Amino acid sequence: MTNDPDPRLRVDPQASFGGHRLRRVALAVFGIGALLFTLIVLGYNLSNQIDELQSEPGDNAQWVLSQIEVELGRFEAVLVEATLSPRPLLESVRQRFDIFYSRVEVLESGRLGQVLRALEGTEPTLDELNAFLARHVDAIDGPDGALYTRIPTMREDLSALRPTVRALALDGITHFALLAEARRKEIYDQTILTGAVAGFLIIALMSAITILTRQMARVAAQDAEIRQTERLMSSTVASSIDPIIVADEAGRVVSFNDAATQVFGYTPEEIIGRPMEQSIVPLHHREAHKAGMTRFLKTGQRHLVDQGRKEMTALRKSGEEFPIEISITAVERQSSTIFIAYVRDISERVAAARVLTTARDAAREADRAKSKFLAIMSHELRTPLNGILGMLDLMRGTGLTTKQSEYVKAATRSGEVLLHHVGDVLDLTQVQDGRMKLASKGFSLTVLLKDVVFENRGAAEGRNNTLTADIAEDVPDRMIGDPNRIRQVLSNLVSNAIKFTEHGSIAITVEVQTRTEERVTLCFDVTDDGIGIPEDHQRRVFDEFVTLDAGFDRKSGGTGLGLAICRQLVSLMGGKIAVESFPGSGSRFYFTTPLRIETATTQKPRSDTPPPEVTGAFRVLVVEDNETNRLVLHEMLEAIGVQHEEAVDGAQGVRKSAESAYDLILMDVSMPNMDGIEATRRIRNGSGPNAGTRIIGLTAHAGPETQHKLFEAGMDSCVVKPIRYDRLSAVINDVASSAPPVGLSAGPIDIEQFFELREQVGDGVIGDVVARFLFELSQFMEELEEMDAVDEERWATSAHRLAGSAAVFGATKLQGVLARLETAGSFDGMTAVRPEVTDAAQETSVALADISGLTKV
Amino acid sequence: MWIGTGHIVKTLGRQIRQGVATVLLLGMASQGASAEPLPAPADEVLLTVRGVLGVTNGDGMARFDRAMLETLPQQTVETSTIWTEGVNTFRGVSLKTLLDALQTEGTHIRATALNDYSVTIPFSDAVEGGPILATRLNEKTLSKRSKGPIWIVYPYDSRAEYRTETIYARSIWQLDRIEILDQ
Repeated sequence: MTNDPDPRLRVDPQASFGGHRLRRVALAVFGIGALLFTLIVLGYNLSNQIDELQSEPGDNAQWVLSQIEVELGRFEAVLVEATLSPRPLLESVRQRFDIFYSRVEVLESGRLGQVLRALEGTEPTLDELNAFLARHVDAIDGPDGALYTRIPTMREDLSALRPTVRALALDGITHFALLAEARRKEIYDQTILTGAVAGFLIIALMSAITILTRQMARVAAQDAEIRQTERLMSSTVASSIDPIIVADEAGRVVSFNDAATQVFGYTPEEIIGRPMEQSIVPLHHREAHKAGMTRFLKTGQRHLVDQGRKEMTALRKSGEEFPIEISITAVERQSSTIFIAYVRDISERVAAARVLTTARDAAREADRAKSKFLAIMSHELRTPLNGILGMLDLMRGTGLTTKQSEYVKAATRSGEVLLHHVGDVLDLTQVQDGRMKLASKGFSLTVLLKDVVFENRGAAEGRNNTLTADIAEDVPDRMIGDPNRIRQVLSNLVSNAIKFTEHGSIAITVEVQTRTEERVTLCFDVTDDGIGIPEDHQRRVFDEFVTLDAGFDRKSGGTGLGLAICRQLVSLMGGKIAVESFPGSGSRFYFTTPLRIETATTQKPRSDTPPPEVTGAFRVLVVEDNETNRLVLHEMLEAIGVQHEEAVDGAQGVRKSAESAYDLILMDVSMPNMDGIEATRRIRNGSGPNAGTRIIGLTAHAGPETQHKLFEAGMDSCVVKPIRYDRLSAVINDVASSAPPVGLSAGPIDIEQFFELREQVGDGVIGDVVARFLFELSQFMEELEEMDAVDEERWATSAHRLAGSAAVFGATKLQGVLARLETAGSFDGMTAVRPEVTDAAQETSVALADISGLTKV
Repeated sequence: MWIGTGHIVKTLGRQIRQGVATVLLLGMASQGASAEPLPAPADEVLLTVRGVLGVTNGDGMARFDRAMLETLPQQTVETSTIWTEGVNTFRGVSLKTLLDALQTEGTHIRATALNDYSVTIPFSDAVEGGPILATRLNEKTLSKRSKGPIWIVYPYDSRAEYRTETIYARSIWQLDRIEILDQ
């Protein structure tokens, strides 16, 4: 489960962009502020200027100047009148003087005066005017007589002033006009500037408004989206099939969906706000739960949170504790963390698993029981068969009459058939259990076919059938595969064909289907013109226990297992088998199998086993409890011509082994008191003359477990009972011709196997290879010490693997004990074997290290 | 010597008349509407008021000399003006007081100066804290050579509205006569 939170819950990646935005906003605000400030300043200025304009005595100034001129004129006029009729007008003269005086005075003081004196001509004119006034004021203030006499002079002086005053007035016009213009322009400019700034401000504010509006719209949209998401999420949570529980930092339940109510039994009202420990966490978990939450909040260590699915138990409202699968995630919010738990009630699943496990164990038990039964059965059946066939074999060599010979042959055949059936059953179970292994050796196709024909000729002739075999021209002869199995299948098909054909022909053909440089897929064909197989039957013909006539009047015989075995074998070889048939006209059975072509490099030198008859001082010890079997072996060994001695049970066998040296010990496995395994062990672990002798086990138990047991005990190989004459002689030959066995006890290691390995990998590499195996072994041993109850399968697999490796090194003892570990079947069984494994491992490590020269360094 | 005697008589007479006028005027002013005639001026007439008057002193006009003007309740205005330097104190009867005393009815007055300069002032200007007919500048009599004897002075500093061209135009000096108008 990924730990990525919902992308919508993630912190906005535009947060960095938000930083830019913040700066931009600050800038904008600053800009607007600046504009506003400028506007205010300008506005204030403008208002001030307008104020000033209003209170500016500009027009007044103009008026003052013209007034002076006017009063001057009036004064002059009065003076002229006075010259003509003096007396009654003196008061007017005085009045006019005063008026004129006050007019001139305006030029001197006040702001108005200031404004007027700004004119260039004002000061000089003022000086002149003041001079005039000063000159004549005493006359005005004096008696009438003096005044009267002064009048002409006054008039003259005044006239002289007129042009100056006029000029001043005219100047004033221009001056004040310009001033006014300038002032107006200034105000105009100021207004424009203020207006412009105001305009910018308006634009800025409008943009701000637009942006803000857009922002608002965006926020509204986001808001809507968030609400939509919220709705989506809440409906998702609400409609979830599995409980979803949300809790806060304190462990209090915040949200509890419908499914949770169904599973736990609490309604949301009952549980929201209460801590989880008080409700759904089982009592014995409560401490751990609290501790875990606290730890997470303090240190952020996640044991449960965001660690994927975990299994634990929870408590229903009813008090029932039940198993759950839970997944918790933590979501960081602004100031707190919330936990979201997805829970699944797995009580059903757990129960189902338990039922399945029980059923599986029962099935395994049944299977094991079956295997055991079959093993026992085969032994039980094979032992007497051994006797029968052995005896018949012997009988053949005792000089029989023709009739007796025939009887013996018939009996032998029957026995062989019986053996064949027993073998079939065992084969089938082996193949089905996946325990059959195909051999891989070179063989001749021609020879194989010849054998098949030879095997079945008699039966064919017995039913007046012809039997032919044909190999296509492009089929190579030398192959690598399992010839025995191929022969078994082929022979089976042929014998079937013979069974269901009378006065007909059976033809075997071999053709190439596909071919490459090294590989070829061959098609083996067995065609007969017998009674054929009805169509509905064809489908089932390869199933177990299916024969053409299953009724009580069975003509053809057979257990119905043959084709089933053929199918298993063919599929094991990697091929396919099929049938074509027309009732009345015959049947065609064919199968394909891929094989490797034997080339010169793959060819192994064929050791032509010479026919039996070994001479020399070859001594054999036979350890067999069954009298008949013992007799059989005795006779066979006599026929071969080797010295032999007998022991009737394991103990005697051990005793005899201690007394004198033998070249070969034939050790029966199942014997009362001390069985062959124990006896072999004792012989091997002892220091007698036979500690290193080749011991061959004779057993009816053909399975690999048995073989492992035997190897572990110290046997070199085993032969399946009933042992046939040819086989026995071949074995003896083998033993006699191979290198003499090592006198030293190699204990846990099969020296020859190890030497073979060393030859293959080379002296330089053997050390590394052994070291690696020892390391593997030590690791396995470490794990074995800590083995816990749960994973039996895993142990079985590991043990099997290691046993394989051990076999390569010839560590047969280790191999054997590992095999027992593998098939222990239960934790208890494994624990029982464990000490032996430890011992064997220890011994083997030391021996291997020693023998590979590792300890010399 | 005869000049001096005449002068003394004139002065005495003036003072007596001033006294009477004062009493009458004060009475008149405090009583508000009364049909009593205005006392006649004893001295040189500074101000002549024409128009629809409730109070007159001859020929349907009201004539005031300095004493009469200065007996009426006086107002002081401390202000700077465009014609003077710094802040000065002006004293005189307020326009409102005068118009009230005269019991006039009208809408405007036409104020005319010695040199026939004339300006129209609406009754609405005659308010408390409004213009005064200033006769003294810093307690000194306002002389004819210096915008006297009567100068209508507004308290320019007190309000921005008083610092306009219009008001400056109404600030008539050498005030001589007033005509009550009803438009």
